[in-house]
Amino acid sequence: MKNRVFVLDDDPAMVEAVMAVLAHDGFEVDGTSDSGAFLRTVLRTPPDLVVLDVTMPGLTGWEICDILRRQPVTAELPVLFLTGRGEVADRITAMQVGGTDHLTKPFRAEDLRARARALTGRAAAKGVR
Amino acid sequence: MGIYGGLTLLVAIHPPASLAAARPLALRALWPLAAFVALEAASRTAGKPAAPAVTKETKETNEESGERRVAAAPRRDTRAEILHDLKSPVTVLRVYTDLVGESARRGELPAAEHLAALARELSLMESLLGVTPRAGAPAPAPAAPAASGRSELVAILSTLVESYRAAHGGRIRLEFVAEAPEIPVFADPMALQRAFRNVLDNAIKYTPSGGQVRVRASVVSQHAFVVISDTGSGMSPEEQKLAFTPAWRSPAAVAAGIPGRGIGLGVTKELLDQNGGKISLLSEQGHGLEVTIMFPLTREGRS
Repeated sequence: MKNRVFVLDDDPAMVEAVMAVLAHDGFEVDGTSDSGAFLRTVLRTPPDLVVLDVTMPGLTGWEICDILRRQPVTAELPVLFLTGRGEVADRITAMQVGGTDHLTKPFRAEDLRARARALTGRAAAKGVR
Repeated sequence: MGIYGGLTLLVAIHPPASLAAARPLALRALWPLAAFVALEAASRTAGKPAAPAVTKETKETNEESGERRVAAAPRRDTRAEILHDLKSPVTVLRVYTDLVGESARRGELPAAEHLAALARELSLMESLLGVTPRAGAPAPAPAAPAASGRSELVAILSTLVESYRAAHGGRIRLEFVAEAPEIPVFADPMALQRAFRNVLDNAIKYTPSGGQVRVRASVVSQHAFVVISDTGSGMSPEEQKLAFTPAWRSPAAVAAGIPGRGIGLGVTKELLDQNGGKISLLSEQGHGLEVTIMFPLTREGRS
């Protein structure tokens, strides 16, 4: 069965780009720019991986990750952050709120693919759906 | 004690001042819960995206007063904001270029949607950098807006307004009125989302607490109209003439410390031009700004 990935970024072009790369690599992908819709979908049907932008006009990716970590169904869901900022403090924050990994923009398609494969592989090994 | 009672008690035990002192643990424990409670409550009552209890404005205010939330977006200076705006389109360009290159290495033709995405992002990048051919430059192909595709304005605007309401609804009132159930236009939906976001960002930024931002979509004489009005500080006639000039900012906005780069409206105009749209401003200083965006409903009406 294909691994499912859900993408949230306030830039719809970024959502489409991430989905294009991962769909091409055999993932079942979905995405949105609406954080409310994202949370409702992910909490109802947790995917195998979520890809979160950090800087968005409503809730930040860090805040959304913090919410996911507090819900039993998504407590161990792998979270890959996409961030335009590569500072150490931001990486620490990403880890503090429970992020599993992060990619700094601009990134290559192969980097995204490799992270997604590793994180979904890790999820399977840990028994997270 | 229900979840709301628990939240009230937590707030009572840790009022904002003591929360600041007790950070980051108390904040991490409290505010995501509040956001989630708001999300769940709104989902139950209205079946719509919820308004989080903590808004971006609240976070920025708290940062200005010295409070730093663990999960709050950090304040960015102008250069950092410009770099951030460029990183997303550069990333999208990079990703689609990689996909096209991978197809070539396999001896396959690149996917048409990947090439279209590349063209769209290059166009956005040109707009951001202000290198799109302008008046005085060699004339582009006549009467041929670059973008293609169809968009449904009511769906795009209602999603956007809902998203902004979730982030800013605690500070200002956001209203969306559609005078038709669907308003389809010949335009690229991503370009329209970006254009509307830029206008909404400005409206929200310049509207003080307790103010209102109103979005109205209608159809008149074979044209779709989107009017975004606010109760902010407005613009003088002179400022309206300069508003689409790249990197121009109102001296009053700069003096008031309102963040911005003076890029949004110029990019918006470029995006609308490419999609057959027109934008105009109407304002009386001190009495808000009304931004009107118009699209012809037919391909023949595009020019």
